[in-house]
Amino acid sequence: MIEALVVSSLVLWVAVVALTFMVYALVRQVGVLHERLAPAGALAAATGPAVGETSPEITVPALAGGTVTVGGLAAEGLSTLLFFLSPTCPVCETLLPTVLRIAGEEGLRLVLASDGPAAEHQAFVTANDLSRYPYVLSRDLGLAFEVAKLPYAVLIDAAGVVCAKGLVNTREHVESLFTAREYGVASIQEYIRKQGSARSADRHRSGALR
Amino acid sequence: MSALQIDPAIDVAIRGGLALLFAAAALHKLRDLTRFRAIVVAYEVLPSTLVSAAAPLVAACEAALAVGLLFPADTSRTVWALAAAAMFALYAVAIAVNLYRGRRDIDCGCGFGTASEKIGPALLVRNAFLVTVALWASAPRAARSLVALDAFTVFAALAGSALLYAASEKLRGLPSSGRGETP
Repeated sequence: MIEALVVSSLVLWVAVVALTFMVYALVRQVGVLHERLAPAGALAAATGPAVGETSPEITVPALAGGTVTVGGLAAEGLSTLLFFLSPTCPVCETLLPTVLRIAGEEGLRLVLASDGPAAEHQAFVTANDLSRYPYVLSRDLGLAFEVAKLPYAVLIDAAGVVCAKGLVNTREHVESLFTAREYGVASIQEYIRKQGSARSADRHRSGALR
Repeated sequence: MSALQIDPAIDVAIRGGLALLFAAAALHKLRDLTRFRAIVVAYEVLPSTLVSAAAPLVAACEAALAVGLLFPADTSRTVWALAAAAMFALYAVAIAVNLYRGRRDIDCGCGFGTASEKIGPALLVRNAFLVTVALWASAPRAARSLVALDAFTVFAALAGSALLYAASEKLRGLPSSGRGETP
């Protein structure tokens, strides 16, 4: 009986060592995954006014009457978040409360932009309680920023310069626009590229030291 | 317990494990013999006249090994274990030859799935391990009567090693950070 216990204990130890190796291999795999997963960010399109360029100054009639000016020197000294949406796009509607909240938190002038028959948009504004925000219907605005996919957001600073822009589908994407502005990069894609080149530059430097 | 003898419980566990491995391998090969034949051809270690005979022969050998390991006659225990070691060594040689030739892109034919896996040094390590285990089982049995606890030990060791084997095979198929195909 004692011998059977000794054997059983030996088998257990072998299993423990094997499992330790397995855990080590899995941890390495976690590292590989971590390196390969890029952070989520707004997908920046290569079309339209580039980040860092001055945005075109466009004055368009608002849905509620009056006019709204996008681009150029902002009278109130506020940055503008231009949010392109459509009542028929479910993602836009889901994302809308987040955009409103972020615009409030960041102290931005939020301009909602769309295109199409006014009646449909009027119903959308009433349903979502958007009467406090300038809502414009303009084909030209979408064409000026070359918006191809919705929801699309453009961040313009008080001097009328495009800070960040891109296709936004989640809260992370919208917030990445502000992060992009803070870091002075056009998009998360450019940020990753910069990180990559910085890392390889580091490697070269440490190689030279050795 | 002498160093040159193997405890009967461990002997049963190793034989069971190897038999399981051979049975699964034989079944997998027989199920799709055409594909296995293509793999044998791709290894380029046999003259073309022998290839078509080799594929079913290898599968038959594996099936025979599975049965022989599990139910050995008292006189042939050592022979079956040595034959299993030789089988693993044979595969290792075929893989090593191709690695030496610099042909890494051939399907190893070693997994039980349908996905093709490439050969590599990790496979040689695996086969070296399997050869060692099979050689261990060829040692003479220590005289000890098996008790109820041994049945539990054997069963747990079999289940555990089968799962560990499957997990390590999966890990081998994953890209590693060192030699992954990242740009």
